[in-house]
Amino acid sequence: MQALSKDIVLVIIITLFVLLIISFIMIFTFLYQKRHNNYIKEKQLIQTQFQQTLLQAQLEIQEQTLKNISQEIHDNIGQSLSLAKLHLGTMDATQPLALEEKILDSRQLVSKAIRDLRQLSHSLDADQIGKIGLVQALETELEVISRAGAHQTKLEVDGTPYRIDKQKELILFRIVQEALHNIIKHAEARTIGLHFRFTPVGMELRILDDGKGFTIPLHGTNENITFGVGIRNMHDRANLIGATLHISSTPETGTTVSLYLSQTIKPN
Amino acid sequence: MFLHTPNTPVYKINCVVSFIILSVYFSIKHLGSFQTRGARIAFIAIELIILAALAMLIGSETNDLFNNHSFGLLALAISAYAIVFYYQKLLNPVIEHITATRSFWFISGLFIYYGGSFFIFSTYTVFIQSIGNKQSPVLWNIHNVIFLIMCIFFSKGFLCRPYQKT
Repeated sequence: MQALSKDIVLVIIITLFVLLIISFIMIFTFLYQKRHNNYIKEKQLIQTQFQQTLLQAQLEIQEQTLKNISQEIHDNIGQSLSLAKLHLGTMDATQPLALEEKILDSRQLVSKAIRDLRQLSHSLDADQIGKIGLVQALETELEVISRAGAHQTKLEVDGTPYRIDKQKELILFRIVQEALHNIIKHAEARTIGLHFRFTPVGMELRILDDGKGFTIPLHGTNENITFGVGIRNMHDRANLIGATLHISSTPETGTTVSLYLSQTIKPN
Repeated sequence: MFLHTPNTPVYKINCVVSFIILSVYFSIKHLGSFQTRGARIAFIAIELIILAALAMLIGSETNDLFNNHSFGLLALAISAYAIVFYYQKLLNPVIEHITATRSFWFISGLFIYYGGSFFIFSTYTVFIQSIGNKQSPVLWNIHNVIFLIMCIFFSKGFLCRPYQKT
């Protein structure tokens, strides 16, 4: 068989090389598209999870609001109206001085009941957090706790407060609500503090209490599994909105829950 | 008598018709993805310029030998179209499996055939003139293999089930 001329061999080599480049372009495009599709799918999954968490948070907030309302009606409005009813029932026209005092007291009690009802009607607004903002919504939440009488509350704000995304505010509100609920239920604290720090690069929020504290269980233990459902939820929610959550606690010295959310400023 | 007639004119017709058909096909594929009207006009203008150049080259080529210059230009043009197709796919990745689209297999087949055969087309006549017909068929056989690969890609394109949007 006659040997091929060098030029023909060269053309064959070049042709093979070109085919190699074409294959590379095709494979690269295919892999790029595949990667892009995976990215889109992951993004959609995260969005779905976010929407689910948001919905869950909204439901929990509603549930908590209803609990607060029930408590408020029972402890404050009910009490005020019962007392007013008692005053009205025990009025004696023969004792004008006592009568006047009872009428005055009854008016004050009814006024207080009206005030409390007005506050309650505000808390029934589904988009209250969206309207008044996170700081004010949490201030109201602290007022409710404070009115119950078992805890003293304190709210501090450093820097100029700014609004963040409504959905993120809602999730943050739910995280704080969960933390406050844990304090009321388990911490045996006297004082609850909320400390906001607004900086141009982000927002820090600390929830402090002077309760009995606890030892944070190690990962993987059974204790951690039972202890951690609420706290894991808080962590998951914080992660979902790109915030970081840190809990520090030692027995007898209280607990601090810190939340940090770096973000761009949204003008009011 | 018919067998002794040179087949070069058929190659020439094949060259022009292939270019026109493929230009129309790529125009349908590409024109929608261009953002501006200017880009669309430029694309059509380039097609017409290539067509004119192709016609001039074919006119200047003899009927005795394979029209290597015009086929070289055709291969280059189709490869450029295919590269534009891949570039558009990279710029605007769509949410579908690219291997489930017919255009991917068709254009990949064309790219392999015209891109891979470019040097064979361009040098074939030169080799016939310099070393004669003895070794040149080797190159044409390689061309045939590449053509077969294009046919496989085409069949894959015809057989593939188009992606259905849910």
